[in-house]
Amino acid sequence: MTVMERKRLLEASARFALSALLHDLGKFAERAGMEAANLDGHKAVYCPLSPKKTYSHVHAAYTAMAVDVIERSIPDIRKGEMTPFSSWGDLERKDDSLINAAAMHHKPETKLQKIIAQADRLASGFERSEADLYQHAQEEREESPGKRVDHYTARLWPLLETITPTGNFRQPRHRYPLKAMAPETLFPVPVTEHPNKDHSRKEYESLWQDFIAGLEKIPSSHRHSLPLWLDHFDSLWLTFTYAIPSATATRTADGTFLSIPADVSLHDHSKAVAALAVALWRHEGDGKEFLLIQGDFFGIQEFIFHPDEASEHAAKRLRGRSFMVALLTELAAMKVLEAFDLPATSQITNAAGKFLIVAPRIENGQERLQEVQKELDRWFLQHTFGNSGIGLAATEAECADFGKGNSFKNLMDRLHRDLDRCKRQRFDLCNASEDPVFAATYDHGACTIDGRMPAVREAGKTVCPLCRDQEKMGSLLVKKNRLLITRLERGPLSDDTLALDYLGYRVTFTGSEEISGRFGNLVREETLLRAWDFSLPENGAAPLWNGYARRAINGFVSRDEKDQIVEFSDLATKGKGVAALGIVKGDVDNLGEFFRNGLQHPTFARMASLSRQLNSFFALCLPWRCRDKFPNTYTIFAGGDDFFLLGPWKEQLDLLADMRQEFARYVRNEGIHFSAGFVMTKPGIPVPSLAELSEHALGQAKKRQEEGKTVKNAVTCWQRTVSWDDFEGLRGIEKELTALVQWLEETHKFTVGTAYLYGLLHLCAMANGKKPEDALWRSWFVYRTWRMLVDRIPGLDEAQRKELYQRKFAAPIGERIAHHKENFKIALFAHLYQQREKSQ
Amino acid sequence: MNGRDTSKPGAGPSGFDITTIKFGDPLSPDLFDGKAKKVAESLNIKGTNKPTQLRRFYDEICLWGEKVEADEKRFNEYLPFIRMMNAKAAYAKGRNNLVNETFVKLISHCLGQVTDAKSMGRFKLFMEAVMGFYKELRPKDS
Repeated sequence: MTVMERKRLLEASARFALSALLHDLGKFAERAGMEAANLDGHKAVYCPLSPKKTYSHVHAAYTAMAVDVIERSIPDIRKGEMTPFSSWGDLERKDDSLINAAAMHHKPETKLQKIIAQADRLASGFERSEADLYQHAQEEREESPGKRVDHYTARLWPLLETITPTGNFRQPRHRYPLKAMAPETLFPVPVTEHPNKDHSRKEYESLWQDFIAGLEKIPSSHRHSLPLWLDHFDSLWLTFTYAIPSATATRTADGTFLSIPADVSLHDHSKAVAALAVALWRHEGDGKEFLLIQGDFFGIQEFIFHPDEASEHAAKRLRGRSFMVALLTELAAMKVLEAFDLPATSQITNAAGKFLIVAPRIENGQERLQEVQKELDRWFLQHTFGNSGIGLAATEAECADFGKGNSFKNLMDRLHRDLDRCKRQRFDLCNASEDPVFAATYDHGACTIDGRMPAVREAGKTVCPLCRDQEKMGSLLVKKNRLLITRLERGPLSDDTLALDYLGYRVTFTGSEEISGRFGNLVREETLLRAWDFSLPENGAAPLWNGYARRAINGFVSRDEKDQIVEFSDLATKGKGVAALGIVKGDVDNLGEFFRNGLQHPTFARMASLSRQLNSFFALCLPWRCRDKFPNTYTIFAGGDDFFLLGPWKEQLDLLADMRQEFARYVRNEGIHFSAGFVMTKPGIPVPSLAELSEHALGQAKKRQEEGKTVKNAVTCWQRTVSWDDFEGLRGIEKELTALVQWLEETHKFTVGTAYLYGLLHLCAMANGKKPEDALWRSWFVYRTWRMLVDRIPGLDEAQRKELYQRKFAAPIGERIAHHKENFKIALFAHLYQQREKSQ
Repeated sequence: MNGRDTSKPGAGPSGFDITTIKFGDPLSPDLFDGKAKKVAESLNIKGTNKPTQLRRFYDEICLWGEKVEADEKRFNEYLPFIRMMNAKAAYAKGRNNLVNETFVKLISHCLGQVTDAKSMGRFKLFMEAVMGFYKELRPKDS
């Protein structure tokens, strides 16, 4: 195919994806009470007749009417090039328009309409027989005995609350609030009472109006490039439909109930439909229709934490490297999409260095993918000497694989296996035609930052281009909030363009104010491929929508008054007590099990939903929480199911306790939890050591046992591993201890000597000891407490001393050492380090 | 319990039987904790067993404990002197009831079990635990 033919194919695919993405737009519009002129006429065209001769699935009629409403704000869908649809003037194919393809999914007639109807079924995992029942279902359900909800009053179930490691369904007791996506609206709320219809309509109406207004925020110039615009629209669609349940119909005409839980959002469902529909339309030949392509960034740790020669600007570089991992993964996904002429909507997931793309199985698909792989390999070999890379795995699939029961589970297993195999075949060295040992010239020596890559000399410095870009990124990340991805041939757009090419793309940072005004011409000349908004939320309740495709690839960093990243040495001094950093690394426990077996009825849309929901906590809620409550925290990375944070040591302990509570509020499922490792270090420790230490601590937390079984769900601090409940208890003890010391100071003018407190550390170790003489700790505790504290408090008679000892020491300290044993050290260390001077 | 001397052969005021104090293997996990605490309670009698008096004996136990630890081979040489603490306890009791019968029995029972360096070490640790708990009961030397 020529370049022009491929461009047309991409545009046609984007057009078809848009049609599929909008197929349930009417659900949103109908519930919002959108004014419906000639509703009966639309019903007659778009809605199926039920056995009782009434029209069902009225939302389909609304889809057609709603597309009319948004038409003025979207790229032209009636005139000009309309492939694969008919244009407005095409009388022979007048029924095969984009609007009809979107709206006829319950009454499909043409090939395109049938494809969308089929993709709709596949995304939901329906067999054809079930789909027929679904066709005639009333949009009403009994959520709990006597509590009926209809499609207005039903609220989205939190999928995370319903899953178990064994696939047993848990009845959810929470719902997502019907609001636009924002860090605070992502948390499900308890079901207190079912909203009434009027209130529900008002909520839908308000959401709809914000959605329509949000549509106008996409720069109008971007409508000239449908693939670019569609990427923006996908983010808008996510923001305003993530909390709308896609399936609300579970009662059939004869009164029986179908078990279709309202746990998939309109966004996740329609995005899966769009991706599947495009692949179904585009596949070639007989047999399997799909090629599911996964990407995986390997060597993330090596990429981010490679030991540097240079020590200055470590914070800036770390930020840049972490962002670069997310960016390169996005760009690799783009590369795959481009190789298959697919729009952004075909990319189903992208989190924590992994992505999944639904591509059509086409005749030279594998070759195209290999070409992409070669290009990725070339880039990583050149710029990282192969220490990192992105592997691509392709899995063929057919429609039957998306059905309920074991077929979809088998497909998921195949995807896992294929990705695993791909990880073991990095750079395909066994089959490489080129010499695996390649030449590198060091005309200017090695990079003075990373100490290994060939350097170039520039402005008196000898650094490698990648390190230079990483530092530049570290600076720009805190000043800019948009990224422009342009074709390589275009050259740098500004001083804020990175020097290297990134997998064949040019990357430029820009501010929100500059993007549409200065760079509108790039759209017209077809140079601008993507424009991403990576800004962090400014407000917990404000919709995450700024008019551009959002990518949650940015972490929170602490900034100084000059808007510069605060260096680690300064970060360590922010907060009470000793100047030290706290490093926290954690991830969700047993996640693989939840993904493999957690869903009772796994479907493509549910899997995508699960991945997106989990990622949102770490990629959106966590950075927002840092910004809101823990402003000195630095998110090295947070996304997918894991996080790595750094900040003043005490703030990190507080953040850990807070995160555990917030995560529980987010998942509403005590079976889903995470473990974390905390280490405390001086700021001068090299970055790779921080990674190693915290990784080790996390490993310890993952080994926690109860009754001989590994249960994880733990945190390791100062080499002690405790359950989260114990951690909370110990934080409480720490506060009591601090209050006691202060009370003795204020009330009795008595200072508790640190020798006494340090002595307690030894007693804690003894309390945990196995030797018989370790039991002496209690006696020692009594003796030391009297000798070093109680005896010395002035102005008390014997009875008062005894009372004070019992009330303030024996029970709050002695008994707790007996309970927590050596883990009591967590409370003690946290207290002691707060009392220490910063210089110590 | 202050003011009452309920000591009787083998049993303390709370019915604690000092013959349960055993330094041979296997050691009771409670020896240096609950048992030592019970012993401390049983010694807490007004007018006798002042902390200073008990400490005198404890200091001597420590002294012999350290000597034995430094040169275990000389244990048999030290043993008669160690056992002499029985006489010292009896003397202290006879001299204005500085210690009471319970203490004398305690020392006698414990010394009876001291047959080697290991048991001497355990006797020392046991008395250390008793003295620790005694601090809460009799913080002042009265």
